[in-house]
Amino acid sequence: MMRSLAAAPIALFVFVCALTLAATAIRAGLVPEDGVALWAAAVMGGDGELPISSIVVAYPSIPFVSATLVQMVTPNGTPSPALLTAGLVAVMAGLWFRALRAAGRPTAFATIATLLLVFHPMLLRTAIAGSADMFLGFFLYLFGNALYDLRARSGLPAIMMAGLALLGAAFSHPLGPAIAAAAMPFLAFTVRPVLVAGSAVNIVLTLAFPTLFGAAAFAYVSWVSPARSIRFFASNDVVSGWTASLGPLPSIEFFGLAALDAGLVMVGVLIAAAPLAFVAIAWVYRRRPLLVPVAIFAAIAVTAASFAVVMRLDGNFATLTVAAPILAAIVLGRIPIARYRHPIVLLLLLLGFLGGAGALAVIEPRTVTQVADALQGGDGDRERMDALALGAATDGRRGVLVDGFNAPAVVLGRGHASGLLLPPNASFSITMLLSRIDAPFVAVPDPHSRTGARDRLNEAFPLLYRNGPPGYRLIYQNNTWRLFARESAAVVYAN
Amino acid sequence: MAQLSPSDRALGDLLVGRHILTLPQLDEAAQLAETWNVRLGDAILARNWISPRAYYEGLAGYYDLPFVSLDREPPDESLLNAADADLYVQRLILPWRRREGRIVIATAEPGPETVLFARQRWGGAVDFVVAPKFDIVWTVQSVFAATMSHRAVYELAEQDPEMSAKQVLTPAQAVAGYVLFSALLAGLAFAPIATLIALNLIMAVFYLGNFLFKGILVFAGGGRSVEKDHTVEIMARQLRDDELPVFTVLVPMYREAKMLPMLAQALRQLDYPLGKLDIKIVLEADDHETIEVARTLGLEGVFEIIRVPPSQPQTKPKACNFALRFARGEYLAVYDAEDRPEPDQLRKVVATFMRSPPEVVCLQCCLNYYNSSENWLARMFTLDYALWFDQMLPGLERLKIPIPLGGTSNHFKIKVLRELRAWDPFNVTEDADLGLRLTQKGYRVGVVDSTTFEEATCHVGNWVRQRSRWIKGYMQTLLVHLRCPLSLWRTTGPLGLLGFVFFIGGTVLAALFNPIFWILYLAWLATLATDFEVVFPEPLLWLATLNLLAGNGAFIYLSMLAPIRRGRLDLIPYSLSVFGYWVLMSAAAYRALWQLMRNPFYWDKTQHGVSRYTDPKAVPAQRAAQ
Repeated sequence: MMRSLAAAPIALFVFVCALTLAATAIRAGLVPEDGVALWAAAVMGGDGELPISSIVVAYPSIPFVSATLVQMVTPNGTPSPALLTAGLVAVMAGLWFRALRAAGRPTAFATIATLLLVFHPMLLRTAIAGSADMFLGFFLYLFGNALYDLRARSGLPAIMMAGLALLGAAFSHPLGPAIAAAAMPFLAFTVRPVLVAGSAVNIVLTLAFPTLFGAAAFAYVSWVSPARSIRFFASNDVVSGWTASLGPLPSIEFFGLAALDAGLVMVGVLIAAAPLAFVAIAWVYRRRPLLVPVAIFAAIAVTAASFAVVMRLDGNFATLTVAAPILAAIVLGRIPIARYRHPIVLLLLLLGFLGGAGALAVIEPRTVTQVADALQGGDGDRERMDALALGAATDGRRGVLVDGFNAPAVVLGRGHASGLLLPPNASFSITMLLSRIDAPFVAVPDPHSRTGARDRLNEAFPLLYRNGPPGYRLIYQNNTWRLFARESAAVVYAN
Repeated sequence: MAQLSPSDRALGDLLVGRHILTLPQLDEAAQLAETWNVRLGDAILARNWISPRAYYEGLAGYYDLPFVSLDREPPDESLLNAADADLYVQRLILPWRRREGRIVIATAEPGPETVLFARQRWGGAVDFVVAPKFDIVWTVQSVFAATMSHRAVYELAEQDPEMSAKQVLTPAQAVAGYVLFSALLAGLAFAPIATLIALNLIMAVFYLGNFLFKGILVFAGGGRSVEKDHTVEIMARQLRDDELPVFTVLVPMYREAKMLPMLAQALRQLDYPLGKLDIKIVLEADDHETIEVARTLGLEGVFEIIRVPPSQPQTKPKACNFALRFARGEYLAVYDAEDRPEPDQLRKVVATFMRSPPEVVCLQCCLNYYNSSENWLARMFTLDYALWFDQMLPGLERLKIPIPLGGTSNHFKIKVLRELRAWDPFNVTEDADLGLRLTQKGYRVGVVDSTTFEEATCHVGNWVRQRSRWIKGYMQTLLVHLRCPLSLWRTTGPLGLLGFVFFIGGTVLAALFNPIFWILYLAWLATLATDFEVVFPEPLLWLATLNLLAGNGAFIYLSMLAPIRRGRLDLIPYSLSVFGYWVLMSAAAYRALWQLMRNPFYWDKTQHGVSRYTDPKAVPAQRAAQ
C-alpha cells in the first residue's frame, strides 16, 4: 500500500505529461486519422447517437468501448482517448516505479529509470497514436510480466493474466491478433517444464482459450447484430504502410520477402531501442527462469511483425515497436541483476532512448516529419483543421446533415454528436435512400479534396458543394467545407 | 518425551507376568506411550495385540478390583442421571450398583485421580470395579438413548431456533414470499411486458454478478500464499508426537459395510499417534449389517462404535450430534466412509490451528477424487471439486467471506462446536450451514492445503440424487441465514453478505434459471422469431448476450484452470464439455426444489462403493498413480 502511494506522484506527473502531449498532438493534427475516427465514434456513442448494436460489433472493441464509456461520464469536448492513453501510461509508470522500489532500489534511480522508459520515443509515438496503440502496449506489458510468473510458478493468477492479456491485445488493436497468433507457438515454453511434460497441448489450450473464445464470441455477435460492423484502422494496412515507409529504403529489404524483412526489422528495433534486454540476457544466460521469458517475449514480437505482414492486417507497422520499451521495462522489473548495476542500466536505457528515436525515423519517417513540422509551428493536416473548424461552426445548430464517418474531425470540432445527422442515423439513411435533402443544415466538403472524394453526400449529390441544395443558403465556408442552412421548411432538394 | 509413570510400569510388568502381553510388546507399548505422551493402556489398545477385555481384566487385577462386564451385569439405572451423561463418557466412570449402603463405581480408568473424583461426586462410601470403556460408553448410549437422541435432534431448534432449518420458512419469510408472488402476478396481469422486462433485468444482473464474483474468487484463491502452505507443512512435520492433542474422528456411515475395512486402513495410515486418536464409527442402530462387520473386524481399541437410536429425521448431522457427546478430543474431524485423507492431514490441521488467530475454530481441507478417471461424470465432478475446493474456498478465505464447509474433512475445535450446538439435523447440507453459523457467531473458518480423496459418484442417477440433496441444503441454508439479512450484514460485512448470496445463492439460482434461458435461446435460434424483442429491449438484449457469451466462456475457462494446481492437465479438455454437467445440475436443482416443498428433511443417501476404483486392491495403486 505504501509503495503504491509512493508511486502516485510519478504516476500523476506522467499522467499530466501524457495528457499534455496527447492534447498537443490533437491540436497539431498529429493523431492518425484512425485515432480521430475512433474518438469521433466514441463521442457519437457517448451521446447515444450510435445504437448499442453498432458499438458491440465495433473493432477494436476495447479502446472504442472504453472511450465511449469515458465519453458518457465526462462533459462534452472531453478528449476521451487522450484521457485513456494518459491513464494507461500513468499506470505503467506507477507499476514500473513500484517494482523498482519494491526491489529496494533508490528513489532517484527508480525515478530516472521510469522516466527514461516512459519517455522512450516509441512509447511517446504510441501515446500520440491514440488509445488503441496504448492499450496494445499495456496488454503487451501485462503479458510479458506474466511470462515471468508463469515460468516461476505457473500459478493460476499468472495463467489467467497471460491468457487475458492476449485476449486484451487481440481486441485492442488490429495488430493485436498478430501478437496473439505469434504467441501461440511459444506458449508451451512459457510454463514450468514439469507442466509441459504433463501435456503441452492442454496448457496451450488453456492459455489460448480466452483469445479463441473471444474471437468466436465476437464473430457470433457480429452475426446476430443487425448493425454493420465498424472497423477502425481499416484505412491503411500494414503492407501498404510498410511499402510507403520502408519500401524506398533498399537497404532494409534484405531478402525481398516482406515477412522476413519485417521480422529482421523488428530484431533491429529491439536491439536498437531496448539494448538493456540483450545485455541482461548475457548477464543471466545460465539462469533459464530469468532468460526464457525475455527470449520468448522478443521472439513473439519478431514473429508478430512477420505475421502482421503475412496476414495483411490493418494498422501501422510502427505500432509494434512499442514492444521495445515494454521489453526494457519487463527486464528492468524482473531481472534482479539489471536493477543493481545502476550506471550501466541507466546508460543502456539512454542508449535505447536514442536508438528508439533513430529506429523510428527509419520505420516511420512520415510521423517524424510531422512531429518536426509541428515543433516548428506548422499547421499539420490542413483538411483536418478545416473539419475541426466546421465542427465548431455547427455548434449550437441542430439537424446538421454530414458524413461524419468520412470526416470524424467534424464531430470532434463540435464537441458532441447530438444534433448531427450522421450515417447511422435514420435521417441520413433516408436522405441517401430517397436522394432528397430536407435537413435544417447540410455540410459538405469540396469534392476535389481528399475528404470530399470519399464523402457520401458528394457521391449522391455531385453538385451539392458547388450549388448547395435549392432553398438553402451558404452560412459558413472554409478551404474544404461549406455549410448550408435551409431557408424554408417546405423546400426539399431532390437529385 | 514423557516418562512412563510408575503405576504404568507396574501395570506393564503385571500384564507380562500374567502372559497377557509379551515382553517385546510391553517394550514397544512403553516406548509408544512415552513418545506419544499417553498412558500405557492407550498405547496397548492402539495395537491389536490383545482384546480390550483382556487388558481391562489385567488392569482390574493390577488394582486388585473386581472386573465386570456391563453387558452381562448392567448397572442399576436408578443410580444413573441423564444430566451426568457427558461426565460418564468423558471420565469413563459411572455409578454401577448399590451394595450394603455403598455405591459401587464402575470405571475404565482406575487410579488415585478417579478415587478422588468419585468421592467428591458420590461421597466417601464408594467402592470400585473395573469395566471396559466400551461397556461404559455403550451403557450410556443405551440407557440415555431417548434423551440423547432428543437432544441430538432438537437442541439447536430449541435453544437457537433462528439458526435451525426445522422451520423451513418463518412467518415473515412466508409473508414476504406471498407479497412478492402477488406483486409478480399483479404485474403480469396489469403490465406484463414491463414485468417480464424487470424480471429479465434482475436475472441478467444476477448472472453478471455471479460470473464476475466467481472469477474474482478464483483469481484471489489462485494467488494464495504458497509460503503459508509450506510453513504449515514444515510446522506439521516438526510437531512432536507428545505435544499433539487428542483428536476425535467421527465417521458416520449407513449401510456401507463393505467400506469399513478400507476406511479403517485409511485411518490407520494417518501420520498421527494412534493412541491420541479417538475414532468413532457412527452407525444407525438399525444398520445391523455394518454393526456386525464392525464387531467382527477386530478393530484396535481406538475405534469405538456409536449406535444412533432410530428417530426422525434420519440424517448424518443428527448422527454426528449424537456421537459428539462421546467425543473426548480437543479437536474433531468428520470423514465419510469412503474417504482417504492424506496421511499428514491431522498434523497440518494442528499446525494451522496453532498459527491461526483464536477466532479460527474450523478448518476445511480440500476434497478430490481417487476415481476421477472412471468416466466422463467422474472427470467433470473432479473438475467441479477442484474449482470449488482448490480455488474458490481459498478465495473466500482471502476475501474474508463466510466459507460453506464441504461435507467431510472439516476439523473443529470441539469446545466451540459444542458451544454452537453442533450441526443442524434438519439441514441436509449441515456442513455449509455450520460454516455460515460459525461466521455469524464471530468465528472464522480457514482452509488447509491437504486433500482427502473420495469416491466420485460416477452414475448419473446417484449423482443427481446427491447433488439434489446438496442444492436442497443450500436452499435451506439460504432461507435460514437470510431470515435476518441485517444481522448477516453486521456479522459478516457487506462483502460477506454479497459473497454468501452469490456463492450459495448463485449456485442454486443459476442452476434453476439456466434451463429457462437455454430454452428461450434455442427457441430463438430455431425460429429467429422477433417476438422475443418485446421482453429484450436493446440494452437488455446485449447484457443478456454478454452473459451468454462471457458467462459461459468464463465458467468454461475457470473449469479449465481448476485442475492445473494438481497437475491434472489431462482433465483440461473435458472442461469444454461442462455444459452437459450444467444440464445435470439443473435437473438436480429442480428435484431439490420439489423435495424442499414436499420432504425438506429427507436425506437422499448417496451410494458409495460402486466405483471400480473402490476395489481394495485398486485403491493403493490408484493413489500411487495420483
